Amino acid sequence: MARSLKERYETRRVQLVQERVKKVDQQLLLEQKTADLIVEAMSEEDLDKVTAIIQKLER
Amino acid sequence: MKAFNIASLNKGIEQAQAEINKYTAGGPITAAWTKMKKLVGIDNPIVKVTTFADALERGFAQIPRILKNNGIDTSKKTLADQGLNPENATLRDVIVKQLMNKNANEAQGDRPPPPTISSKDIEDTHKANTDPKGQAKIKAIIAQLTKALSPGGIFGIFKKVPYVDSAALANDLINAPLQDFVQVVQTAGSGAKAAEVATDMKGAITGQGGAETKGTGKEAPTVPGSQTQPSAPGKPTTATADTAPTGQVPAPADKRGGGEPAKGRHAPAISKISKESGVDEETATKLIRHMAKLGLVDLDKLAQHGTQAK
Repeated sequence: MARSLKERYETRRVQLVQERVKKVDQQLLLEQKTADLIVEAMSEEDLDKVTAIIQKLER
Repeated sequence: MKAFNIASLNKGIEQAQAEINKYTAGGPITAAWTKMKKLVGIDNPIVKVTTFADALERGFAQIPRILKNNGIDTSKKTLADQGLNPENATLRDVIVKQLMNKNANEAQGDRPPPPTISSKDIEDTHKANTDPKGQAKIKAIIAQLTKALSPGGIFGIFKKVPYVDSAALANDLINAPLQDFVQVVQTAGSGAKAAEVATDMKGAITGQGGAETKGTGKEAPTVPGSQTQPSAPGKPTTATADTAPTGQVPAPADKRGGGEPAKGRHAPAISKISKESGVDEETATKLIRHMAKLGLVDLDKLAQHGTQAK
């Protein structure tokens, strides 16, 4: 039996929400991974630069 | 930058300071780094502060171009001609005034505007502030400033600017005295730049982004495996290089984006190759990285080489 308009609408809404959740999840994981890579790559020189940046912000 | 009276910027800077001070207690970052390094991902205050600074630097650097593209002239001569004092006139005043002058010139031919402020000018300014055309122009400039105040480069992955609401900051900038506004822009463009931090991660992170984009279709969500650069002398390393954070699905190890060997996964192979070939690890790393960029290295085979017994 063909699904009603309401059922099709609900299915579509659920599908859209799921897609959105998936995208947000992927973005979050990507940000997490990138942040980890940046932390891992930080050398003492980079930390000095961050200190200088903070000083610039505080000025 | 904090010295200038821009509320949302000051609030953001104070938040950033407070977060850093929690770990450093006002001391040097290098001394507290071991503690801070444990904060993984986007919770790491150093990542957050650098992303915040990067967004400000990039945004402020684009302001002169945004104003120019919108036909706004903030040169001293023009301001003086229009009777605007940079010490108390805001960018909004300049926009409104110049928009009104433009409209007046269009209506009356190309006669220059009167050099002093008259009561009519004040009326005009008020009119433009409430005029839909003037409002639309200001709204458009705020939207462009908001967009410009976003991180880029290796920090471009982060969609949200930490500590500050870009739209609120753009709005505050428009309403700040022009003198403060100009000085903030100049300060942001001077000294150390966030774009210079962890620059050697650019290739790996850009590549990671590419790999992620490929995976955003209808396939099951996967996260690319860890991509780190080969070790460089003096760089702190963590043992988490190849460990996906909780909840993450490790991605297939092939064809890493950016075509660069990851430190954790390829470190044993690089070490082995350097011993076998009689060159130091740094040289071996550089050579392998270069060859990987050219697509001459099978990264899977390279990783396997490190795990094979001699």
